Amino acid sequence: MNDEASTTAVAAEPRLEDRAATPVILAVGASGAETEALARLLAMLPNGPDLSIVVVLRDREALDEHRLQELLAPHSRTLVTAAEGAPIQGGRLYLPPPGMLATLEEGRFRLRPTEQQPGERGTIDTFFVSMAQDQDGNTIGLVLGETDGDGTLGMSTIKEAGGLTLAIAPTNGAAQEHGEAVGTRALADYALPMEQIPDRIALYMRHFARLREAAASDARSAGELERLAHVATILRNHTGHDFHGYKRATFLRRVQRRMQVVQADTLDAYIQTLQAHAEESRNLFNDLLIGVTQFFRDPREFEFVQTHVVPRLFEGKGRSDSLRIWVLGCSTGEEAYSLAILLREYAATLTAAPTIQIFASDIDSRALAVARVGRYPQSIVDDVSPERLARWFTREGDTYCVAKELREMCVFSQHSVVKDPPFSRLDMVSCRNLLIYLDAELQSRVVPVFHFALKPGGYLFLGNSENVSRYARLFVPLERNFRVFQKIETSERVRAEFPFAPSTRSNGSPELPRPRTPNQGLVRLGERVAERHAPAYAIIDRHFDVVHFSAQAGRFIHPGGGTPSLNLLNLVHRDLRLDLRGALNRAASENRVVRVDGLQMEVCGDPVTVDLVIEPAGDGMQAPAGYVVLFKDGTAMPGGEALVAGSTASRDEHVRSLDAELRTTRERLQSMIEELESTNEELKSSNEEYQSLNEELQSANEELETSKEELQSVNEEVTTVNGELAHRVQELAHANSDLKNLLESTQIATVFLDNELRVTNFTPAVADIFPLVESDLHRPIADMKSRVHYEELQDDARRVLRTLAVIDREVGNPQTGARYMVRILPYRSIDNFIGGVVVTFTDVTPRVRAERALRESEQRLRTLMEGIPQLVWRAQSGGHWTWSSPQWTTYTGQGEAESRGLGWLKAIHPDDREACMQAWAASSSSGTMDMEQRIHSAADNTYRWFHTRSTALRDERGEIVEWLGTSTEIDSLRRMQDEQGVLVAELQHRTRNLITVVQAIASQTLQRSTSLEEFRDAFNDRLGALSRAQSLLCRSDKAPVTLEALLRMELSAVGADLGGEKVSFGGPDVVLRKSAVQTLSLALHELATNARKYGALTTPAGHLRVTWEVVPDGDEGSHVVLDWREDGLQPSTTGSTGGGYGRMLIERALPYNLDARTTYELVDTALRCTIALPLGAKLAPHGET
Amino acid sequence: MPAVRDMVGRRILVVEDEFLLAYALVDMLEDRGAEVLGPTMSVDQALGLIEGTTRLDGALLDINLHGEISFAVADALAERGIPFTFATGYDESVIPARFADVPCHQKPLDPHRVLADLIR
Repeated sequence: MNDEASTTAVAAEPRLEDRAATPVILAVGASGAETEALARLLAMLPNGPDLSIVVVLRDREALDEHRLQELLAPHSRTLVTAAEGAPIQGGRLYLPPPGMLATLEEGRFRLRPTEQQPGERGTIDTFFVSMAQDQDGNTIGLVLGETDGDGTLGMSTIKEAGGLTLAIAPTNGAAQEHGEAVGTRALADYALPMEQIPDRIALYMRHFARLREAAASDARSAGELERLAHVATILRNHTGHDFHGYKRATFLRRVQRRMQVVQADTLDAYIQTLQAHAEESRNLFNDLLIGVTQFFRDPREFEFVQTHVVPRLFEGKGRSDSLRIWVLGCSTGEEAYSLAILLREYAATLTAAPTIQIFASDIDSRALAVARVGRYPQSIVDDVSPERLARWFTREGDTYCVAKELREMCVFSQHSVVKDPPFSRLDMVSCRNLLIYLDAELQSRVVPVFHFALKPGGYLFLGNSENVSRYARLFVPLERNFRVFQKIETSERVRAEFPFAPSTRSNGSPELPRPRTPNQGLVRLGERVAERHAPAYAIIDRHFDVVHFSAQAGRFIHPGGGTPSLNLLNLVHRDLRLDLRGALNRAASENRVVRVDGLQMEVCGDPVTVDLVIEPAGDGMQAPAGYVVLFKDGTAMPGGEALVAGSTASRDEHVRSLDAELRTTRERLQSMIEELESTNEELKSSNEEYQSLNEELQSANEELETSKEELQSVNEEVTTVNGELAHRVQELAHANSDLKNLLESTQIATVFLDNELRVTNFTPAVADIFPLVESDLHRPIADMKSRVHYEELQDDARRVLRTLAVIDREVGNPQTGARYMVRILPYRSIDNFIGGVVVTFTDVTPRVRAERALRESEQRLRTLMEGIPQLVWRAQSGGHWTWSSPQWTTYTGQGEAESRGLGWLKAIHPDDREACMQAWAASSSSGTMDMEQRIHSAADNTYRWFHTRSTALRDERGEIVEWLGTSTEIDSLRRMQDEQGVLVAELQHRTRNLITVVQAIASQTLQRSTSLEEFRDAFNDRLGALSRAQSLLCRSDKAPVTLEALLRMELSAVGADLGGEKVSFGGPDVVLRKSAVQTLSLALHELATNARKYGALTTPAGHLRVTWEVVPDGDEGSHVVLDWREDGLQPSTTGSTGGGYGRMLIERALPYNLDARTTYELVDTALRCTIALPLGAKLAPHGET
Repeated sequence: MPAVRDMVGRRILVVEDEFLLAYALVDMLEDRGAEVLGPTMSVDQALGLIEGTTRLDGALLDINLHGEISFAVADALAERGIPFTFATGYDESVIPARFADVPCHQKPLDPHRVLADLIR
């Protein structure tokens, strides 16, 4: 009933004219596991271009999509996967992809990844809310099966926006009663069997189309106001709630929505429906009550409550006390939860916090359904601070769920403050924005109810525009500017008028209870008469203030002038005052009855005799609590009456007899008087007894009535709690069946043990581990023979119980070779007690094998990578290394960690670094990298050339994951290449020089030859010498060319017998410069040839002697001096031509080329030639040319 | 074959480290009537010869003289405006750019072409 006013916050009027092209959107929410039911429903639904169906699943992952496709195929329905940004189109059946949260924005799908676990994403609510806000009225929300509250908020939003909400009625028909429906079903416009759903949707769509057409023309017709007023009147007659003063636009919107639901085209048609079906009035009434409230509405007030009220509420309360709050008109629960947050936050600062109970009531059961689920749209972030959002809410998709802790503090119940008895003994009543809807008369009934319901000093929290200033006796504002009031204790009992209580009692003072059985008029009359004749009296308290006068007391009262007073001494007749004071004092001091007789008092000029009797009231032991003062008319004045004297004797006789009679009569009278007096006394005391008894009864009665009210309150509370419990039981049953299914379907073997290690539960999969059957429950686990080798199970379980730390272990089944991952966790009950342990066995056999294979493979790879000479590394794109092989560290001296990132660049030659980075930059497109650079060697502190290659490793989508690269040393290769280049050039040079020499020899030989034959022989000889010299030179790296070797070679070539008599030969080992070999060998060849042809080797007496010695010559090194001597020659040979060329070589070429000093003498039969050849380095600084 | 004495009166410097080749060149030049300065196989000697003469009509210059490079001689010649010809067993690529216009003969030399260059 609250918050009718806040409906003004509802979105603007639907833009009917924009709708022409948009299809009606039917969103189907379901759990995901009910594939078959979903397929059956989808197959039935209309398939036209004016309807678009979106299936939103709570657990999208649980859906067997393939099966669903299969089931739908015969009905020519295909699932379209909703794509990001795709416009929603008619005739399609959409299904958002898994792991995505779908919403609707401007008629297009929006998808984003979910952040929560499946089932906690609020997928249905998220989509429903976005759809309702995006599409306004042309939406239908349908929830199939159990969604655990997901969809409740969505349905409420759809209804608010003017859409239709449907639910599938349970087929067994048991829970069809509206009152029993929970969650989404409670909110649905229709809960129908599945078969009736398509017709209902078709009807709605037809009606929607008609309404759309009609909307433009008659929406604002003149008679509209009148008809709406008529509707309000019917509503008032049926429900007792008057909506005449409601805002027209809001009212019309709600009415139009109902018109859509009941398929009424015009207001008139709807009015007929209303009149015909009382139930429809109820539905309209409920819809009108959908209110919009918010968290911490009026933050300033809540701040005040937080700082000033909440601490006081907790004052003086301990752990065993309870703090009770009643939130009226809680609607969808925001206010109740807001208060719950404030209380919890404060309670957290206390060491011993009392139990907090919040009774939240509303008359709208459907709002309560939303409140019970406690799920709210994302917009609450505007009202709730981020800290509170994080602490008190769980995010599920685009929705927020209140924490269980808060939820359990609040008891939601359907309750009307006007009709039902209130809760009682409350510390605070929050009744915000509810009083403003009650008229003065209702308010005057409700506010005392609050007063009754609150404990002494309790608080009343009202809405911004509400006040209880008219009840200043009952409530006082805590602070002027805030709407928090405190209960005032009144001595008089405030009659809280309970709706159920007949309550005809009126206020009365406890001192003088009135008889409550005035049914006998005669008795009353008699009493009145008796009172008239009884003495007048006054009852006064101990201060002599009058408490009560009897009716007849007026005569004795004669108040003096001045300030009015209740003091009897001031009120009583002046003539009696003095005596009365004395008597009262005496009665007070002596505490007994005091009589004063015969007092004279003047009344209207006549003297009157008065007897005063003052009787203290009380038990006679203590000082009296008051007095009763009796004013009796005294005996007649003695002189006021004349006696008439008789004269006759008979008369005397008569007089005597009369006297006697009189005496007798007097005596009788006296005795009767005495009797009467005693009876009177008795009656008086009886009367007093009755009075006190009556008093007691009266209080007992009141007590009883209070008890009854309290009992009713308690009863109401119990009913509420009971309803809540029933709801919980239902939830629990669901959870239980979910759990059972989970346990049975899971492949993870699980055993639950209690604190004594007895089996309390297990899953079917455990059969692989323990041979457990149902009858083994509550038997110690020690009795079970385990199939796996796990002796330590009990020790481990006890350790977990002791330390509460999780134990993980891997065990094996020796028979099958299966491996299991065992995990033992403490079993924590909901209230966090340790009730044993949970042992799970996860079959990890394939994983273990795969891991082993992987490990081996990795080992091989690592061995390979670390064994090859290349430097191996891994990198991210851009050349950020993630790993380098030990070879890198060995070579560069740079640690593995140091090389990571771009650290490796330090080992690169500074000139090559930029090229490296460019290569990396270019690599990302090609996927390969190939370059050469110099890398620093730690061992010899130089840079060496490396060839670096890298290839990108790509994932299945072709994205580069990482780079694997090697750097191969190519320094020696490069050096060899360089050397080779040098060698080739050198070879060319030498070859050319050789040819030049050959050319020169040829031309010289030609000049000196007389015939071609001669030329040929001489030329061949010389080329042979040249060739031999070359072959010596070629081997010179391994065997240095010695002078002896050269001589032997040339002499052998001419057939000289070196061991024979004709040749003597000898000298020290002399290694020749390579540059000297060629020219020297040519010269020696000429000498040897001459000796062979013309010299010592030709004559019998000829003798050749070749000796050499090394002669040092100072700093410049040394000379080798060769002495070639031929003896016993034929004189004729001296002029031979053959010597010409040889002589030229010896005398000119050797000095020229080798800086040698030579002599050549031919005298008679002897030839002597000396060659002094420098051995120093002087001539050949560069050696080898 | 009787030589054409077409180089009478010309004074030619021969710088060549291989005696046989130098000897052949000298023979050839002298056959044609030229006056040969040298031959020499050292840079110092060649520079001394250039320094010591008043007239020089041309020069044949081996680039590598037992490892000693003869560009210093070439510079001395170029400075005096004396035409000369390189002879080398290496590629022409070893010749600095400043001697780009100088004729260069690869060994083995074709004596006639060398002489033709020297006559020019």
